[in-house]
Amino acid sequence: MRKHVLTVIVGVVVGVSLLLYMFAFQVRESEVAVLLRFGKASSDLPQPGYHFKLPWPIEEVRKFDSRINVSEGRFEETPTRDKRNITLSLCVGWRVSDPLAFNQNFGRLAEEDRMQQAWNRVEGYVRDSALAVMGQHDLNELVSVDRDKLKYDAIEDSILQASNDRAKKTYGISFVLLKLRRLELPESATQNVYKRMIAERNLEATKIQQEGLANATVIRANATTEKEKLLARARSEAEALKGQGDAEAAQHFGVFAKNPALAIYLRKIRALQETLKTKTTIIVDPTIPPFDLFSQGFTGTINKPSVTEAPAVSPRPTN
Amino acid sequence: MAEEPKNPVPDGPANEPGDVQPAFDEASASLADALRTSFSVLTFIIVLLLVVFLLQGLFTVQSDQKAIILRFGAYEEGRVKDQGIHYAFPYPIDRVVPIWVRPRKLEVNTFWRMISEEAKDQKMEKGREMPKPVEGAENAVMLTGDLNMLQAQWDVTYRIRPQDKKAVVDYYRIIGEGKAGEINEERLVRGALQSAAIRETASMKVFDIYPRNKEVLVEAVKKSLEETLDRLQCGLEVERITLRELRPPDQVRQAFDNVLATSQAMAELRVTANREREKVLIETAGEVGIQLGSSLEKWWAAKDAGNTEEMQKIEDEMSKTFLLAGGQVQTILGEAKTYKSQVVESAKGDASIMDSLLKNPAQIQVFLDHARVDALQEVLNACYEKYYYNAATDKAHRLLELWLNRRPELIRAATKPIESR
Repeated sequence: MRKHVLTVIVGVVVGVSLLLYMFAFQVRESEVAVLLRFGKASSDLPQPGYHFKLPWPIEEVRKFDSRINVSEGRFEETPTRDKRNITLSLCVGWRVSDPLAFNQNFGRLAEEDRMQQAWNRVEGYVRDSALAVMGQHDLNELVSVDRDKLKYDAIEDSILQASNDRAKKTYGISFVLLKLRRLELPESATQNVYKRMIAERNLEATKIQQEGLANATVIRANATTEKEKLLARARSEAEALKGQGDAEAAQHFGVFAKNPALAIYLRKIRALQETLKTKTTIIVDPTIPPFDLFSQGFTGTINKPSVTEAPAVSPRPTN
Repeated sequence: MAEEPKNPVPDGPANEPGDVQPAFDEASASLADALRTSFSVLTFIIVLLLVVFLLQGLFTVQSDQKAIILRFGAYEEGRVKDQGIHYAFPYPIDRVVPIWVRPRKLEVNTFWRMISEEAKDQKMEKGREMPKPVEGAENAVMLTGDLNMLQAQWDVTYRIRPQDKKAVVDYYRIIGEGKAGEINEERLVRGALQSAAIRETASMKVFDIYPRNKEVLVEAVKKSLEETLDRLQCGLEVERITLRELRPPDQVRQAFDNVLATSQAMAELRVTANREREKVLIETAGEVGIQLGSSLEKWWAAKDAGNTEEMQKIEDEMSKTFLLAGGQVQTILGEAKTYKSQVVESAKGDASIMDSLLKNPAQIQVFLDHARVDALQEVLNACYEKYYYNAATDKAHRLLELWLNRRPELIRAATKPIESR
């Protein structure tokens, strides 16, 4: 009995495997598939998972990669609306969105050639759409220091939509990503731009130099002004201090009023000392003490105050 | 030698059924044994194969991996596995798709010259072999908003969003596995970065980003690239973008370098001028000179703005700071203080002398004479040149001629003829 059970199990396993191989197929999450009955595609598209079919040659399954394919467009020259030529290249992400249409165009091709052939067909649509859309926009919608003027999103969406309309209907391909990957000026314009850039930079250098020299001059001039201001303030404060000194000194002037002539005489002596301190050339004669010693000896009276030696200008104190 | 028959069981009517039965039984028994043995072996093999088949469902996920389990090719919610050992039914029931989640780095050299002008010149000059072009370089440029051109070398580090299983599934659905997946992933990220670079550069002035503030451009490009990847829902995120090189094309580089050199020279000139200013201010007012200079600038600014309150505040601060001033200010103030002190002390002294003299009138004349002679002595001692001329004895009323000059050589020259006479 045990022998029969095992035989049955083995038979069932082998049989089921063969049947599954002939009558079932899987569609992966990253694939789309088309079921063909006698070569005619069924509109009922199998979703990712396990499905049954009749064996070949009655039914056949074709699977296509549904992941994004990223292709790079050619470098094309095109005029903008304001008659400025630009060169551009696009980065395009596309995928199979209509397996039936895709199968109709590329189903018979070998799997390794299929995607490249598909891109070759739709690339023209993208190029045509790009040229048409660029002709509706000015250059400053692509290049401008005013960010609000830039219309990259609108331009890219327009190209994508225009390309999608044709590619989806004809080839079952949808564009899911379209980006400008290069944007430049044509070679002829580039040379002019180089010349302009050099001229602008030279002007910029001159401007920077002039501004720098002017700034340095201003800084130095400010330094002089600040110095003068500080010194002026210092002098002002110095005058105030002197004034305070004079005012304070004046408090002691009361005693001078008792004998103004004597006070003035004392002041003159001090002034003489102060003013003839250095680098003075002086001519003296015998009338000036002590040079009177050249011409005469002591003329006074012992124990009496001398009057002969008193200066003519010297005021005598009044008692 | 006669050949023996191969068949041990003889044919012909001579052989009776009763004679062969044991032989059949023995053969049947042997066959049964052989079949039993074979069946046992087959059973063992089948069981072994079944076990091996089932054990094939064991798989490990590395720390920098995630794994998606597809049941009959379809993804079922929650079947993304983290690091560890897991089990899934072997193919064709389940299929395990490993997805690397570690960061990837991509160099984008599109906007770079293939071979620099210098390298070409070197080749021409020295007969060297042409250097290898930069990988991925297309001699492309990025146009700035003010219609200048820049070239750049970019690096982008990106990865599948960590701790996000949905991102892993999105990545598988959009980009997928295998060599084709790798190529598409690279093209997608490179294309999106190129797009972000030209788009963001096109809105900036050249000197807003070159030679300084490159990080402004990098930040904008990163943001733009992230938006593109998010919109595509491919599960990728940008970890870091680096702008390895940014410079104008070779054709205009000299002009840009001149601007930079001039800028640098002017910056140095400004620094020099500021140092000179500081020196002047320090000479004028010592260590607080710079502070006082700045206060003056603020004071003028406040005056221009008509802000009297601010002017007063600055004035008060300056008054305090002024007390700490050194340099010429200190000299002026010091002299004033000295004057003040002297004038007061002098007045005090004179007053004291006056007071003393007035109290002793008999000594006044003697004191005054002494004071006069002392003063004359002091003055004459300090004199640079002294001439004694006795006019009283000069009956001829001769004219006294003096040659006065502070320069000794002139005096010598002038007096020489006289001496020689």
